[in-house]
Amino acid sequence: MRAPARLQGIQHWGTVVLPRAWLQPGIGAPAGVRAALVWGRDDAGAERAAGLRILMVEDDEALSQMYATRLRRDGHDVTTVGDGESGLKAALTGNFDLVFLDISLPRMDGISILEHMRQDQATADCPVVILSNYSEPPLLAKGKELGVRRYLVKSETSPAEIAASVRGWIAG
Amino acid sequence: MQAVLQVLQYVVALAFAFLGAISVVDLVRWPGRRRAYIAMALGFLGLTSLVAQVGQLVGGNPPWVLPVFVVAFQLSGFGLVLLRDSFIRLPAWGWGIAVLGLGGTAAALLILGFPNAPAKPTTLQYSALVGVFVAWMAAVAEPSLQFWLASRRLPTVQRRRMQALSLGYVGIVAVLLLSLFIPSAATNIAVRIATSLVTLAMVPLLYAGFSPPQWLRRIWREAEEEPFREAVHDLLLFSPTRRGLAERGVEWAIRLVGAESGLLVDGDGQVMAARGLGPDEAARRAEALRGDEPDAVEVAAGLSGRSIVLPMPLDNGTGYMVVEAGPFTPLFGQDEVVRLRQYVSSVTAALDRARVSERVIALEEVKSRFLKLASHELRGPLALVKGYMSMVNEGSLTIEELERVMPMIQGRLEQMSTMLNEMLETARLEDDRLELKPELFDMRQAVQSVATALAPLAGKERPLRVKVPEQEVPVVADRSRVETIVTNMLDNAIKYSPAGGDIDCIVEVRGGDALVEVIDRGIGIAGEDMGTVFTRFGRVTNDATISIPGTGLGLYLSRELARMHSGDLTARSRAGEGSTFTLQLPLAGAAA
Repeated sequence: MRAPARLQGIQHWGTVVLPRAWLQPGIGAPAGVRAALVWGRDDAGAERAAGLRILMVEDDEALSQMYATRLRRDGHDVTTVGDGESGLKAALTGNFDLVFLDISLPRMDGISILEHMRQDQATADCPVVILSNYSEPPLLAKGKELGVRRYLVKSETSPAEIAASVRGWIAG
Repeated sequence: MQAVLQVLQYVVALAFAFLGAISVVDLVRWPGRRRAYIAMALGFLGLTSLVAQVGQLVGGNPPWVLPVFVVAFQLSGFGLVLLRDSFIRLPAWGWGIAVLGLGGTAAALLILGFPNAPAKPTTLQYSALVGVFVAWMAAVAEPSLQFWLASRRLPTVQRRRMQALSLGYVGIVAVLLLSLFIPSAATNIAVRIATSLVTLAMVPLLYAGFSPPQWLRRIWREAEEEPFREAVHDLLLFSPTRRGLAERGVEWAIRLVGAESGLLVDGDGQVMAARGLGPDEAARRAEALRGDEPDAVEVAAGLSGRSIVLPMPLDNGTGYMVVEAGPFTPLFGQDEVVRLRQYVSSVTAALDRARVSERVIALEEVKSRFLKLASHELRGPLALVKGYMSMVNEGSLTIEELERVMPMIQGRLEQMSTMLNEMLETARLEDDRLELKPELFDMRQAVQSVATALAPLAGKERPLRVKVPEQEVPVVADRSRVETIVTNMLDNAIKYSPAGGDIDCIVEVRGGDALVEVIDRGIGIAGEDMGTVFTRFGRVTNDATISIPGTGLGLYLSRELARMHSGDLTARSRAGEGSTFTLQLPLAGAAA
């Protein structure tokens, strides 16, 4: 029997079934349980809420798997999508605490997704981080204009850095 | 005094008759609508001046003189109206006034008649005569004024010519006005001699108007010399594009020789610029040039005088500069040909220089686009390798997990090294530093080793089926380069079959050639993109390919390598149905 994905990587001796609400931001688990959830991690001790719902729009499957693996390790609920149109559809559901967008994507590029998101009530203020191979000044400016939390270049960051920053990006 | 006046009047009449004759000869030699109007205006004017002297010669006008005089006189006026209409359209009411005025007054005078010298005309008869003159003067003065105004927009030579013509007519009108309305002018001998001299002076002016001699053309042009030199200087130094240069080049060629229209034909036979000609007319002239030998064209130009055609030895073939004369532009002589030739050789050099700079600019753009593309393509695999390394370092990736992703990391590193290799090979190719190391080997072995290496990449979704003949397929070639080509072909087949599908790799011998055919069932290439895939840095970017990594160098490099081996790489494809790439190399021992 395997633990749910968001619990993988936590050193444990058995499976504890937790109410789903405990994992939602804003509700959270009782303090004691929360402590147990983070127990055993190398960065344990930091007070943190349960996993976030994260959307990753990325057409390079190997890369999105890598980022997802690392983020799930921290207990986040990661959804990966491989093309722009599906990415926008997923983003517009408003079910995510944080969205990672690639720029160069099939069927719709990241900037267009972002523009659509900003026009929709549900996602107008949704925290977005761009994670791309492209870092031309006009793109950076466009990202800033559309209120992205960060503009990251894939080869200049790492899954660990991203994992360490997600909560900061959501806080603003 | 009386005798002097008489002789002078004969001279004036002969001069006008001569002028009329020249204009008619001109028309016969170079027929044209506007030239016909000029011939009509001046020819009938000459006839009028001759007829007017008949009375003096035979003592009393024969009865036919009056009708001939009146009709010829009014027709000469109508000729100028026609000429004006050919430059500046005459409105319908304008036509009405001209026809009624000229025709009506002529009819009135013919009906009323006009008595010979000793008899006094009636007031009515005199009024009819004045009416004829007034109508003529109006018919002539209005176009003259229009020509003067219109001439201001024209190049110097044309301007001076139109001005000369209009000045000539205005002079005649002034003399007529004087003799009609100031009674003393008709009786005072001194005044009559003076007016005759003025009238005589109008003859060279009118002549210059339609057929100025070369020395006069040169003097007229001198005023334009300085701005012309500056314009040519600008033209040669600051025209960034060939098209812009061609357009301004034609404009100045026209002004240089005072032509009416011109065109510049590129080395490939296309019209680059035309002025004073519609697109169809220009294309027709360019078409006509293609048939002619350049020398023949030039000789023909010298003979006709209507146009100058100068060949331009451009780097993409022989182009032509053509200028053409109009009715108000001079016929060309040797002077114009020499001047134009000097100018055209500068334009030729400038056009070639512009082509070089256009090429350099285009190349720079292509290179910077490539650098951008390549660096972005390299960032992907780099991010993956660095990312997993960082996860290993922080301890968030177990050894088992690392083992699972290891082949993927390996694949990405392989991808990076392929890209770098392609870039290096292309650079070598560009610098002619790519040296082949030919050896004798069996094509079957080369293909099989590449296929084996790529089989894991193809995976289960894209079964790689290799079919080779039973006997050896010997080729003498640089084996590593041939493997590069085959790798590229198979790698493409795998990359561009994202949804899977069989990949066939067939080695066979056909004629004196060894063929390697790679057939996939992938996304294929649309007809319009076929030209792009083999170009350097050429990549087809659409929704289907955007996620597929590549530098756009592979096929370019492969084809160049194949051609260096006296072979070739070709493709057949249809969008959505897959592609077939064929490598063809000469068999060892086969006659090259």
